[in-house]
Amino acid sequence: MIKKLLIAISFILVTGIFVACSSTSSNNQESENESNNNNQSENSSETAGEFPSKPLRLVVQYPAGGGVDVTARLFAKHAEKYLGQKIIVENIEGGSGAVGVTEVAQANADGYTMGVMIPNTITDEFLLPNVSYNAESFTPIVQINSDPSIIATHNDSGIESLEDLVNKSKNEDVSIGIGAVWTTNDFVKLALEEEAGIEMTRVPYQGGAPVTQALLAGDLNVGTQYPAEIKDYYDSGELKGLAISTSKRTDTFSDIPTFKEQGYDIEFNIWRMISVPAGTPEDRIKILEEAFMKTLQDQATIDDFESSGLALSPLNTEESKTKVQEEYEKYKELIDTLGLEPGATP
Amino acid sequence: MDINFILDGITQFFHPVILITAFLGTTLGIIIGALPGATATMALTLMLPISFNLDTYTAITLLLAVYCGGIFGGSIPAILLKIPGTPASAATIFDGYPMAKKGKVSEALLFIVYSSSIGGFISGVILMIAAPLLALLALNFGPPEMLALSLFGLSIVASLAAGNMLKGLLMGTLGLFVATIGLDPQFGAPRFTFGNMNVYQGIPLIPVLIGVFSIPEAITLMLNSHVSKKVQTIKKRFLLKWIEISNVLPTIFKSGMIGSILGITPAVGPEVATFIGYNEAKRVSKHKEKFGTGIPEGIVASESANNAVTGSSLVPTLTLGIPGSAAAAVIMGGLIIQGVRPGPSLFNNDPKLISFIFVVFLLLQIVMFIVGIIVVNVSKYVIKVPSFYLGASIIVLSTVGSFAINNNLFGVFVMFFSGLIAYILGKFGFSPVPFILALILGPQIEGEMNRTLLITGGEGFLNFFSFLFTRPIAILFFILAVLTFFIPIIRERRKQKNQL
Repeated sequence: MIKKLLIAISFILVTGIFVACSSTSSNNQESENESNNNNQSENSSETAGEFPSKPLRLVVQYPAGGGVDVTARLFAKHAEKYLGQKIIVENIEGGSGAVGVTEVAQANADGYTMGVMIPNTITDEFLLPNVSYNAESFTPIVQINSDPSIIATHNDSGIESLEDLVNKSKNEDVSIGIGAVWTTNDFVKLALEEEAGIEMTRVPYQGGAPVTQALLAGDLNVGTQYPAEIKDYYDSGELKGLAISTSKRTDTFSDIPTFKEQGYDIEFNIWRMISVPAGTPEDRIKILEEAFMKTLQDQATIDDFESSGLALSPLNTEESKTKVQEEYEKYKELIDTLGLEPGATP
Repeated sequence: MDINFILDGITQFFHPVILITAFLGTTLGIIIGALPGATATMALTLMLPISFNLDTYTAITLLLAVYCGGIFGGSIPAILLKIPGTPASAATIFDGYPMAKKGKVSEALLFIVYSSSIGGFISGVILMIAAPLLALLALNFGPPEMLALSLFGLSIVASLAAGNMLKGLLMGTLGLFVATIGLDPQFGAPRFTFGNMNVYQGIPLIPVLIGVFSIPEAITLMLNSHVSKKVQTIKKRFLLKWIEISNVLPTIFKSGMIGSILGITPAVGPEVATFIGYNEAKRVSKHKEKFGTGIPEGIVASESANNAVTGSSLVPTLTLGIPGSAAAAVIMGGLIIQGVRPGPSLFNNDPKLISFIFVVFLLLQIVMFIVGIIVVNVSKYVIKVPSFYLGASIIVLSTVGSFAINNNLFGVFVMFFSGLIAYILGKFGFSPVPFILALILGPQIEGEMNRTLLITGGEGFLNFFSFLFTRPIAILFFILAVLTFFIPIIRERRKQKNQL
């Protein structure tokens, strides 16, 4: 009996080791690398030749199959060519994305762990409780794309323009669907309410596709949507757009006017950037930037993204950094004006 | 649907590369699905990077094969070890495990092969004939309908608790409570999170599921190892007799239809359909008391239903671009990466591809049948493993599985914690099944409830009821929910009175 017990315990311990290794092995390697870094920073000409010398991780904070995941996987597939190393996409879900982002923020800054930075990465510190990262925890390397928000409605909804929507919501209850709370779509709705001095009933759904469904079924008056979510129905004429959150009109949705045209200073787009933890050596960032910019200009990449319904809008490291700074200020201003905090009723 | 495209699809399927992919994918899916803690969704995620490098048709075959195989594979440990490999097989335990205990392991396993394939085939046929029509039906499932349907699913708790009503309902309530942990879906306010961001999206379901089913079973196996020395005999049976299967064929068809219809509604996955299929078979049965003792009807009712969902959950995915289950969401991602954008335009732009998907899905059921027969005839020898080592291996697999589901060690803690609680509660006669059902449905009920109230456009009950009368489907399911919940309770009351 005791012998059996010992065997069982050793069995379980082996599993424990197995699991423990899988979560910390990267850390061990990284700490070795870190000690290397210290030597290398003195002798940076050597690093250029060596980095990257092993596969890289790209942490995706949302489930496989979603928008961020598809973007990351398509990008990783093409970037491997120019980087000369495998990029392993790892889905670390949970905490509305905070668990995966924290993983990147706490990883060693050696360039081997990358993450996908989106507007939520910089707003989480205000809107999610107990988040240990903020905008400064990451250095963006390149921007992959940037999607606008569109206020969409059913063709028979009786709402013909943004003006109509604003007037209608002054007199009656207007429901507006969003895919998830505290997303860019949510901020577009908040900004419109603030600028126009109106209030709408926010109906949060689980993802953008059900919002499209609710618009088609007439359950909602309007919804804030990403282009891919309404494209088919926009083309068929079932849904129409009242306003788009870009600075200029887009080619795909040329008859949807921008907010700015209609007198509202609203410009919130969901951008997706590849980022590394802050403090990553400059020379490594340069190597990644060079490879990634080449990836994004490659015709094969452009074609692949296009056939998946995603447009590319590449920005290099300098431009991305500036953009993150601008976006941070814009979001911060709105968050402060509205007094938003975790769990606050907007 | 153009018959030429269908014939094309069949020809294409027999292309060696696609055929081999179908067999390999199904086998892989079954194996991954059979490991406690590794779900069909996880198997699909693992296949995503591989599918990149394949052409569109092969990639689709791979993903669908892994998906069907994964859902089927989850039922093997449900029968052999009383542990559902995936949430979709939770109801298979009720009759599958007792049947295996009675020395009918081979039969029990063969029943899941037959009913899974037939259930899948039924939904495949429905998918082929009526996908665009069904998409219209799916469109009619807004928040109130989903709320009513989820409540209907939850109402089965009462019939699951039959015989021990108070304990069952208590466990159901506990499940609903645990489901509230995390950020609330409307404002993002933290509830019972204690600052731990691992639970912001709720207590992770899969680790809890693994824990409550595997750990008590593993502990029991290890503690009783010195008692049950006698090794079970396994009958050598390769196929079922026609009479055995024809007896339960009506049940298989009925469950297959139920699964197909439920799968169409966005966001009712196989894990709920399997309970509803089982419950319906039990409701209409002339010998209700035999359910749960190891009868074939019980096995086929849940198995046919969960595999029927695999096909019909592709309906909203392909036609509307709204994934009908977590696994369907991964498939949709895989398609998008291939440059295929699911949605209404897909039917017009690429009818050839759509036909291929339907054809592959149907033919995969045959592949699954062949592979399934072989796999179950091998895997049944698992019960010959001395129970002590079996118990230890279950703990090993559960630990790995609950880590791998989110690449997060937190899942392992959740698994062990919920497992120990389940073991202790089990000693006092509390079953984990109502708890799991409530935990699966809780977040959905809350979200749909919020949305329903928000879109009724005002406050007050009167407003809500007047709105409800414009939604007949919702009313229907609300009534079904009330009946399903109260009839078993009333019946039990009456039984107690008669005994007094």
